[in-house]
Amino acid sequence: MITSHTRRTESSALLTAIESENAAIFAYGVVAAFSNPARVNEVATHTAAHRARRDALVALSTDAGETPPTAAAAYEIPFPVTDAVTAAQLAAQIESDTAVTYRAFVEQVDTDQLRTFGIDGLTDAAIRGAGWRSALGTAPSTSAFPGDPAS
Amino acid sequence: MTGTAAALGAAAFSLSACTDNGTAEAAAEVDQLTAQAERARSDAAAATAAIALAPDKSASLTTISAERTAHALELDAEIARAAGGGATTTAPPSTSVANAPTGVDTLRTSLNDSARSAADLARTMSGYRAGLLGSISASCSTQVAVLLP
Repeated sequence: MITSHTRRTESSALLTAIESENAAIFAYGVVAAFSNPARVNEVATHTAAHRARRDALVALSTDAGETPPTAAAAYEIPFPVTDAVTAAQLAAQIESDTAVTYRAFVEQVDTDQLRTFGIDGLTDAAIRGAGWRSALGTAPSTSAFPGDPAS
Repeated sequence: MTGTAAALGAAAFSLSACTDNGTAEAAAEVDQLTAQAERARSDAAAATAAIALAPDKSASLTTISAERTAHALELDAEIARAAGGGATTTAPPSTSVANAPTGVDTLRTSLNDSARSAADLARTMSGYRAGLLGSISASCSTQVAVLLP
């Protein structure tokens, strides 16, 4: 009983994380279109990082016998992005959403491998998010509890 | 495996509350959480002390101190929950007074160790506690990467 419940929770954590990474990759496309040209490398690196995690999650999900969801054609952007500042705000939002996803992931999965994956994902998102908030001049750029939906 | 065992232990504890195994398991978890809270207080004190040697990093060090203090308080709350209504909350140790000024390099090393230690413990726990420790680990890594580059 515990096993089947655990499997179900774990599988839904994987699928949710894949969806979250697909949304992040799409939204970084919008960031790329409007962001400061000086940040083109940063945006490309971050997009690649989200893609690598998405691919790893898809592989984990396939290995577990699941059918991973494919990316939607478009995802909703939470506010209008019209310039470099709103682009950076969107990037900060993407990372904050990603952190929430991975903290929940860490709480739901039940193997060392997946918890490690979740903690690494949470850490990377927290660092990238703080980098964007720092660029936006938000002080402090960090938060005590990355991935806490309340913070 | 360890995670499953810990989860089962915790579940057994909350259901029967008094089996020897459950009690031992819960006591071990309380000790581990207490060690994390002490690390957090020690980092907070070291960050404050480091301002004397690196006044140019005052804003970052103040933020680190505040965040590590928040970690300690949240861990205290979790320890109180884990110990159940019966146990008294351990008062914050008043021993961390008069820290010798720590350099930023020492603090950076300590925060890296704290990030690793919290992540290692998170891997052995489940549910809210695993998420909290994972978040604390991510926070310490971010302090080093973004606030003390």
